[in-house]
Amino acid sequence: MLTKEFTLTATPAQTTTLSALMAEPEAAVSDAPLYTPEAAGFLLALLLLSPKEPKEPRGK
Amino acid sequence: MSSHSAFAEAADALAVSVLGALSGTGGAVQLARYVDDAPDTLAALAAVRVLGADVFSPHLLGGDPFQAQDAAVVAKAFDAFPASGAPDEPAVAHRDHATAVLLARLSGDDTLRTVAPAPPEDAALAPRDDWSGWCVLMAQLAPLAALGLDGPVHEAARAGVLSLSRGVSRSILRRDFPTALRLVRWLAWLRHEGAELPLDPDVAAEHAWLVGGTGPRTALDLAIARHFLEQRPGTPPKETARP
Repeated sequence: MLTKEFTLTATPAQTTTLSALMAEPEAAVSDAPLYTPEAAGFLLALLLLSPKEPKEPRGK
Repeated sequence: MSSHSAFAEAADALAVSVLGALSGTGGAVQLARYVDDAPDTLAALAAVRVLGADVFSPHLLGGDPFQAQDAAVVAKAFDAFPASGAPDEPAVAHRDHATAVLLARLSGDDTLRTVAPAPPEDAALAPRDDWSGWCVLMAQLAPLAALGLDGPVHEAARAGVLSLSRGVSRSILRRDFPTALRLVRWLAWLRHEGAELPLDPDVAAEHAWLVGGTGPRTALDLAIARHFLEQRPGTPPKETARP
């Protein structure tokens, strides 16, 4: 039974925590794929730095 | 452990208990025993405040009897964490008041209604052009989508069917599934009231749960929404509908 002698009272910080839990905002960042223009340069660099295609052997 | 994670853990544990009572797999929710057995009494009382009106859902939806000592625990939670009267926290104030109203009704003691007074008229509740911001507020007010409650928040929900449907679609696209399911709960409540909806809450609920439903509190929102969807007025219960 809840007949403990002492009286529990939350601190203001705990009350603020409780309010934050009760009124949760929507997720700030979703993990949906986003368009990032900077990635284009990275892909271009990868393309330039990649090794050349192998050539057909000649004069067999 | 920080108080935030301690309170969140306690709220999840209580949500599991309420879910068990609601689905019939567990016994009735015994708030007094839950708080007594908890290692951290303050966190357990915080959990009662966080779930708020949802702790009464097995009594409202399932007809479980409400014990006097459980009413004392809810009142004790309001003693430990006094109801918020801050005007910048409209969601908290409305949730507290809803908890107090249901507590007074279920316990039969009308004086308990005073643990959280009715918040003042709030212009932020009315549906507005900024429907995405309004939907965030309505998602925070999802515990008010319960049987036996009616007030300005419910009027706003009735007036904002299209905004709520847009909000569900937006949250699913943002992959914010807890918010999506809270808004689906409002749509389910509206359908239970007989409103015509532009979005099928059954399909939205199923999708959001399958793709990203996690956590007992989100599961509780879904369970209550399903309860509304299965028990639409004017449709016979499933058992008697079969030939």
